[in-house]
Amino acid sequence: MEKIEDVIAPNEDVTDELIALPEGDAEGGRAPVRAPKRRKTDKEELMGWGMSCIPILGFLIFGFIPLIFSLYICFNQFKGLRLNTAEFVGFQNFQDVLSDSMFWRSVVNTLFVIGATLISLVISIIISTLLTNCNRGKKIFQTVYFIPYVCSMVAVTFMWQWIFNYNYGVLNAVLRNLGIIKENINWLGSESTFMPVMYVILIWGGTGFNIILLMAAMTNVNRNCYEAADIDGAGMFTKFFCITLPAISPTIFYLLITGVIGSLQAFTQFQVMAPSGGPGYKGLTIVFYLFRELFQEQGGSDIGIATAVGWILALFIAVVVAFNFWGSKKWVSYDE
Amino acid sequence: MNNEELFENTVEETAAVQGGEAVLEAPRKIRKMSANGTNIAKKIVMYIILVLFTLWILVPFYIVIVTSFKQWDEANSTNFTWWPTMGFSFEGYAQVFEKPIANAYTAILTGFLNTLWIIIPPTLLGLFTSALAAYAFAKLRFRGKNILFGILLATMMIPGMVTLVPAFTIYDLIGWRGTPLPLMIPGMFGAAACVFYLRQFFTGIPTETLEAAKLDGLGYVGIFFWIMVPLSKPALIAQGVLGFVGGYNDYFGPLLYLTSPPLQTLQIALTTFVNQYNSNWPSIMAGTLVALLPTVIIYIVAQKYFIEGIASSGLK
Repeated sequence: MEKIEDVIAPNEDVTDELIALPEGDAEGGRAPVRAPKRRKTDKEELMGWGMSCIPILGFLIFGFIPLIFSLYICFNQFKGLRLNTAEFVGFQNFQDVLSDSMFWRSVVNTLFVIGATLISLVISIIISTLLTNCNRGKKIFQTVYFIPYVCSMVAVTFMWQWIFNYNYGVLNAVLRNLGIIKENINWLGSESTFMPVMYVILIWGGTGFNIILLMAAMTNVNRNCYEAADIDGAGMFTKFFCITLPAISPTIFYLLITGVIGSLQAFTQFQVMAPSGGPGYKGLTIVFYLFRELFQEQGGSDIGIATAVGWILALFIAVVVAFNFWGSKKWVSYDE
Repeated sequence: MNNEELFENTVEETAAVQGGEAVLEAPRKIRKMSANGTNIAKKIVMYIILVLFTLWILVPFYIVIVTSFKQWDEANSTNFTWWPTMGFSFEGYAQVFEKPIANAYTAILTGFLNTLWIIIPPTLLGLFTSALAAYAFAKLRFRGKNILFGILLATMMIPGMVTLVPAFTIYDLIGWRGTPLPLMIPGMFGAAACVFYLRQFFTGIPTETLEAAKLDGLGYVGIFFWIMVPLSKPALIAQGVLGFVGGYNDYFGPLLYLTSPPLQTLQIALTTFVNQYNSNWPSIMAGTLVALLPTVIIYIVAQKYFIEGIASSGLK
């Protein structure tokens, strides 16, 4: 036990000067077992810094520098990726983005994506409630429900593209055989059905993660509460709304916030499904808009605009995070 | 654990019911039976919903598999068949694995190999650096620890979309665009989320164990390799598989930096393949299935780690 030494060490740290660090470095090698206190602390200090600074160094290089650089880029105009063509334009990039009807179209589409996240959360809550109460086969169900989470979004999108195929897809064939439709529906080619198809893909892929977390939360709910409720004669729904739901509200809120932040950055499924933006640009999300500014607009990439879009998106996310802090105080019960 | 508990509870309950049955009065018995009846009905409805949900998850995969074995004529007929009635065809798989597109390999196979050598080094090295940092934050004392940890916390707040374009521009400037370096190097420095998760795990390891090891002459590095790593294998594996699957399925990063055929990762290669075999659905579905299988297999094998890794990440 070195508890006493540990207690002393921090005080020593404060009085120690930074010059102590190179000393420890020069010493090198492994500290002897019964080394004097001071040298041991130096060694620990050095090791602590050495080990913990790697991710922080990575962040400084690959996170902080681009972050600062983005402030420069978004207030300037460039010709393509050539940085020497910079021309200060103030808030012009932001104005351009906010006055572009295409951008607002992408915002509306992205809001729709959030709707899909909400639906998949509700479905996840229902399924996990049933699954927690199920004794036999629980493991197998859980295993199956999680599969979509590990699947490549690209492959999954192609999978659904085939299912919703206009001429040969299984869905049109089944609906025709059931007599629900007479003519094939052009699911992916018409404006009114494109987003519903994306909803199917997003919900299919979105429930697995939720179910795992919700089930972990639900199995942690105190069993005594349910027994007490049983004695009081509470029904299934009462138990769900009065015990389960409040108890798992932190998890629900966590999933809600991470889900909304994820939806705000939806891209892959949409770009794979419709590389050109889909019918009537129904598949154009905010990140997709940014991507197009970076790559496909005529006249090469417009990094000023693209960075401005990035900042606007960050603002949306900040609003969600702020809502998180505000809402978690209001609705979530964190009694342990 | 919990399953067993539940099971025991139900056994006890049924035992109680059976034991008490003899002395029960008639009306109570009837009430109990009708309660049992509604319970069974509830159970049936519950299982029906769960099975339907299972079908909703699995049937799309079945459609992919069946289509991948169909002949072209059958796949491209207006009437969908749930079984390859015109006989099995492996043409789709032949196209996935045999037809040379770029270099010596096919697009999909090249993509798969590229994915492996681009993703595995940063995953392993990143896991290692994250674990080192987590060890330092959990068990070592040093000046500025809290400040450094705070900085790490702050990195998670920076939205990736803001740094995306500047990073892209910088990589273009230093000639990294078109090389796998932007996908590999940043990950090697570890990830903040991974550090948090492992730190939590490491904190749970009793300090006494480490002190004992210290007395036996182990240095800090020795303690890390001989005590921390072996004791936290499940956590490390969980983070490792999650990191690998994330990298394997990544589409946006490779789309920005690596679209030239020889260096394409699997996800990009799949889109290239699909464009090449436009409307040849058996081939497309074969490619889709080949791309899906590796992560699904890893998941089935390492299921425990996936579930634990994810479940504990949300229970902060």
